[in-house]
Amino acid sequence: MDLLGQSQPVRGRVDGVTVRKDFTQTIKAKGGSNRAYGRATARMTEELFGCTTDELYEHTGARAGDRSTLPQDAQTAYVVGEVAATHRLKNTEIAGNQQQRDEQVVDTVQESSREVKGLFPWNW
Amino acid sequence: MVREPPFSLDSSMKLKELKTQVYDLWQGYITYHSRAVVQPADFNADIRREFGDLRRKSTWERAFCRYSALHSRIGLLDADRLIWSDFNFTPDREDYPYRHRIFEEWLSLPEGLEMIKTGLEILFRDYTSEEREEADGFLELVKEQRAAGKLAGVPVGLVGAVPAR
Repeated sequence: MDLLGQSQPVRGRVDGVTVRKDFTQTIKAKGGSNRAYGRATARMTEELFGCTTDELYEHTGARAGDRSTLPQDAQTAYVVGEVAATHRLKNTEIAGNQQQRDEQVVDTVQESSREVKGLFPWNW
Repeated sequence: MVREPPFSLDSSMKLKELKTQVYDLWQGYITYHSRAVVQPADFNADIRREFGDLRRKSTWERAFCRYSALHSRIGLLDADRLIWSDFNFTPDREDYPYRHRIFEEWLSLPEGLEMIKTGLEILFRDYTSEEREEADGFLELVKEQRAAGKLAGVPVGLVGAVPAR
């Protein structure tokens, strides 16, 4: 890929918030519905951590619904997962009716998450 | 020649569409939240047990509102998603006529209100004012709820800080 040609220049430094927005905007651009965000995140969480988002918050004692309160390792794993999923989604053709598109979005996110889960020591 | 008007005074969803949507929400909730295997044959019995007579549209409307709210529990890593996506109701959405019922179902869930507060905090922490304007469907919903004397627990200071479109 041509890094300079395809990647938009940004004025600020990229952080977790930027990565997350890129991920959700990509799901939207690919025609995923409101239901696709949660489903895709559920699948990513299951691949990366082997649990649900509720369980992740419960087990870590973090404040539910605010990922900035999760342990740093968990947050960085999500960054990796979202970067991988975003690139995979951008290079995947998503088509069909709404339910089919949602399924393809979720499947694509799950596949890319499965590929990166081995990077994290808790999955060794 | 009589032509069909391009709109209907009854903006509620057609029965067939309601059933399709309830099925997707129901199977999504079981699959992604309960992490169980969906038994399609259980669908009608489940809905009948929880909501009553399947021949009535009102039964399916209740099921739609309830399962729409439950579905928002799925993968809720970031509560602000509720604000700019799930409950960001705009007239082009087919669930728009049901927005208040869906939102009230959400508020009836444990931590429902807490998640809205958390979501608003994140919205004001991580998003620019320009980005926040995209959540105006939610802000309208809150205004309508407040006008009806509801939502005492939501910090309107936050909501009021966003200019109306």
